[in-house]
Amino acid sequence: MELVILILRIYTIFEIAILLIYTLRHFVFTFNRIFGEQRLYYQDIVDSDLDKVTILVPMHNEELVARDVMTQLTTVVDYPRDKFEVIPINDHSSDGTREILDGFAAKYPFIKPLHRDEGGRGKPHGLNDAMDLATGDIIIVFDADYIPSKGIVRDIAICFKDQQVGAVMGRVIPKNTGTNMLTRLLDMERSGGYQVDQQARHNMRMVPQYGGTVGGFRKDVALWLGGFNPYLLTEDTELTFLLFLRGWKVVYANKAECYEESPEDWGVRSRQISRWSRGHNQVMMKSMIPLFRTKHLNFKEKVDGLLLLLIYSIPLIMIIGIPVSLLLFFLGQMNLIDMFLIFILVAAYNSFGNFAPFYQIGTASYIDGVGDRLKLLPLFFFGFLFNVLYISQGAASGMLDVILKRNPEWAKTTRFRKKE
Amino acid sequence: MLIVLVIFIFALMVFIPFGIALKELYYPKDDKPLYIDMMHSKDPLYFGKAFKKIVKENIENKIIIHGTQRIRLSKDEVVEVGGARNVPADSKWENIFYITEDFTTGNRTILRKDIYVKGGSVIGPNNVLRAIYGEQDIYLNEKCRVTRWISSEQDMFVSSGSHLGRSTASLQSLMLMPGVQFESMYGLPIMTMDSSGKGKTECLKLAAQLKNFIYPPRIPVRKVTSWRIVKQHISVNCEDGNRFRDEDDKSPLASKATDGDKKCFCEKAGFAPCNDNIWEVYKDRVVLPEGSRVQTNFVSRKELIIKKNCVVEGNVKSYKDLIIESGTIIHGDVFCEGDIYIRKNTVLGGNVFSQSRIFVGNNVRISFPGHVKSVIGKKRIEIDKNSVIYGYILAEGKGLTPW
Repeated sequence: MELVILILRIYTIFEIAILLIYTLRHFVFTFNRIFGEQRLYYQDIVDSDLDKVTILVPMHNEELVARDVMTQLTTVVDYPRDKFEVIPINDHSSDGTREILDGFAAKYPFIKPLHRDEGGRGKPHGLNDAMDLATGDIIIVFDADYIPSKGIVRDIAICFKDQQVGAVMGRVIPKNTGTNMLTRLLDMERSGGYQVDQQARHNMRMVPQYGGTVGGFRKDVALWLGGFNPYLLTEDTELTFLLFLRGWKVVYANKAECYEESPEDWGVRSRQISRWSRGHNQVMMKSMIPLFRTKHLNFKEKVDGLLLLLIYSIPLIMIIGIPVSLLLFFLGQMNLIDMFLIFILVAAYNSFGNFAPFYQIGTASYIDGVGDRLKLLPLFFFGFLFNVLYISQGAASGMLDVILKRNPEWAKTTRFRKKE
Repeated sequence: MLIVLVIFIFALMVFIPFGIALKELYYPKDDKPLYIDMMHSKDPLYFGKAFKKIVKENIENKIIIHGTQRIRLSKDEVVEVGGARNVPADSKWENIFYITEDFTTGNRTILRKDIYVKGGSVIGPNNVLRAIYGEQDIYLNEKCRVTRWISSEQDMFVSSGSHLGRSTASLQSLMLMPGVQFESMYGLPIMTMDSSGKGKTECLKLAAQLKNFIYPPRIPVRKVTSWRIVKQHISVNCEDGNRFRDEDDKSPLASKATDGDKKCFCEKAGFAPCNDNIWEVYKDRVVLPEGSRVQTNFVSRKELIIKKNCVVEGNVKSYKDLIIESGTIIHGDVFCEGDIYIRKNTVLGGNVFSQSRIFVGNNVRISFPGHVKSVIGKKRIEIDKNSVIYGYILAEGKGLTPW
């Protein structure tokens, strides 16, 4: 019994320590965005010698959105046409996606659709096949529901002028913000994630994350790394860590903004976030030890990399912590440290710590210059509970995938755009 | 009773934030997506082009008689339309000018609105102007102050002591005298001159001399598939204590280092070849010895000094300060987290980017004719005399040509 109590106590202290570290992390990032020195991004570079770029747009049954993204890429995006090609990847579609892509290809010679009717399905498979065909030095990926702006390709491609940059991540902004409570919360969550979290990590020369869309990477480097593992659900997180572990850098481009369509349905969102968590934890299991061992990262980068790897495990740690603390309470073993100190710590944490992520979201909204939507912040309490549940589920699956050597199936996020 | 009151207050405090949130959710005031300018694209000539477009649409394409009148541009504006115009000294003007011939101003004139000139423009000394677009040359006399932007389709001359606004652009040569402050500039090329007090003819003569520079053959940098870290290493105390000395200072840079202390060390990164171990790596800096030739891309985590007359056929990145000594040629891009010091008579073929400051010495060439490159410094850029840059300069902090 004593051993059990000891284990429970150690776990509780571990959980408290982890939560405090992440609280601190949220505050550091938030304060960096408000008061810290902001690092100059590369979009101001003007250069007549641009690299050749290949745009990849993975699609599976995307007839609702395919025309929009292709129209933007053919008529709006501003990049020298002799250094620009678009490979929309029609991945086993059974709707009208093929016809839409062939229509664009007939009109624009730089559109070269890749129709995949055989072989494995999923984004990593598609990207690997498309990279074999791509003639560009830089690969830029947009999901099919994205709406690229005029200058975004140049803004992403230009930062590969820094020879150490292996990948670039732009900023995603939801287009369907006003649809319902979920989309409104996701809009603010996205703001916090990009405007504060990613930008602060970029400012502090830590580990910004390549997010797999509205971003790019060097083709030769990705091929040299072996392409994308089709059995990992977050090929973007894997690429981020593979690059950092080999000394390449990922930079965040806050000005390279692109509209996306966020999930409008809690069921779709639960599957999406669970998939992200599962994939992220697969990468965590594979990258944790190499992260400690690499010589290419300094201490600060390693700490940030570790916290980034662990981020989708935290809800699971918290969920496990609930029965653990209940058990300790009913066993009368909660007196881990002096009660007065506990009171101070609990009061302090409830005043600041609990709300650290909300401060981050609030700060992002403030920087973005929005007003009344900040009133929605209390509703993140419900979003938090939802996220904890589904992220934990995904985290457990991801860890088991690696331990049991399972190969999960890739799943596409449902689109909500109305048919014209 | 007290308990009921406390519970009531507690419940109120808990639910008020949710009530406010639900009100915004069901009666939204702020539910539009964040704004993205879908037509934004980086263009150093943006201000001039945008103004020209407005002028074309609202003045040139309509029959407008000469004289002062109210015309709808982006909003209702008072516009003086006319031929050749000489604005008298010590006067203030609150209207837009649309001038079809030459435009000149006297001393200490204040022009608070934008000016469009189809002919040449000569702006008098000590003028304050908001913005000017010239289809021909623009000559800015001493100590002029531009508050917004200045753009020319032909040559532009900026005299000493002038303060350029947010953006300065010339489709041809942009000639700067000493003591000019700037934020962003575009010119093909941008030239800094030692010609204080000299007129336009003298400036043109000097510009021609600067343009006649014989560039070394341009070597395209190989595709970036890898780079090398000149590795952090070593064990010595190099007490030079005078890192940013003038290049004419002959004292040895690593006076305390012995041969045994020096060690060259390159690390294989990616699939880079690693065969030219010519670096001198010290505790706090890396040195590329005088006259070296390097054909790879490389990265230094400590201060990097590229000594005299080196040739680098690759890109360079330094996490600390970077000193490029005289006579060196770098064909690739230069990125630096610290300060960049570019000594006299160097030629850089690529972009120069610093998260800190950039100091460009005398008679430096950046970018080759026919190419456009950028010099971008977060905190400060100083460009000494007789330097020529084809392309774009941006100083987020302060930019100037020193006296």
